[in-house]
Amino acid sequence: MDNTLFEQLATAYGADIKRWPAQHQPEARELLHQRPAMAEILSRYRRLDAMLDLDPPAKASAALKERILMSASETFIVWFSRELRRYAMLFLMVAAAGAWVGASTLGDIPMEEKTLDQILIVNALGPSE
Amino acid sequence: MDYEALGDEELMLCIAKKDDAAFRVLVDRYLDKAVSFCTRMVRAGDAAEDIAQDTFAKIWRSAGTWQPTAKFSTWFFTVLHNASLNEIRKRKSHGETELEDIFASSEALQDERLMVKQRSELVQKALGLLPERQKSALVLCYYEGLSQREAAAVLNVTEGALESLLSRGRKTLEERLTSVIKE
Repeated sequence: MDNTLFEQLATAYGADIKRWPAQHQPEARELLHQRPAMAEILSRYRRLDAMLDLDPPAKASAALKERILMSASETFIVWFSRELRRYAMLFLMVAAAGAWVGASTLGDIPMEEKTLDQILIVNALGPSE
Repeated sequence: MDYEALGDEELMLCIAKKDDAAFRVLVDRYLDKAVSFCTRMVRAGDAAEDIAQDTFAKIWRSAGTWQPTAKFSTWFFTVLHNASLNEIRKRKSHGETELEDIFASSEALQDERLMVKQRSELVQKALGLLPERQKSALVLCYYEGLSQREAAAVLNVTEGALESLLSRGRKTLEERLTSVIKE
């Protein structure tokens, strides 16, 4: 790394070498170690960093967090009931199809081969003919 | 399950299954970053909170369709950044006044005994006066600590272009601030 690249990186990323692109950090530290004059360049940029640090990060309010979580749980309830309705409908359709297939199949079995359960089911569904 | 130990991308997979505990952890992890980023971009606390809220609502709604093609944080800051730019443009089109260029004329600001709060306001105003892309680059890299690759991806520029935006932004800030903030 030469002085020009060192200064170019300091201009873009500031005085803290930890903020520089990772691939340049070892060379920059080496140069700083070899040429103490580089420290003077960094001190110039450190001044701007210190000024930038005067702008503190804003914090989220507790109310905002509450609103976000609340809105998600409301959406969850809507989503859950929609999913529940969908699966309930699917279950009912499968059950109805099963009952229809079962009833039509059981009707064809001779009476002497039917189990008691099958007879009860056929009776419950009504006469097939 | 220990949600705190999960990475962002794993949390998103849980959120896709409407796991609200995973969502809560993601909110804890990113809410302050979101508000801080948007406040610096938009310079209006209420709008910054609205953008953050909308972004988290979007995460909750759309986690199922989210594709982990990039890091979650890159995608997250891209959404925040685009929403912030829209907000800035909306405010401008509604005729809201832009920051006055106080650095050009005010003699009051030459006072060496500026209080910390005043200095902080000056820095905020100086940042606000930067061109959008320079400000975005600075906020993403300097304040939010994104890597060069991530910040370049958010801004959809090359890493070289990002470096140039940062250099120009910092030079402008240096010129403006050193003339009014004296050590």
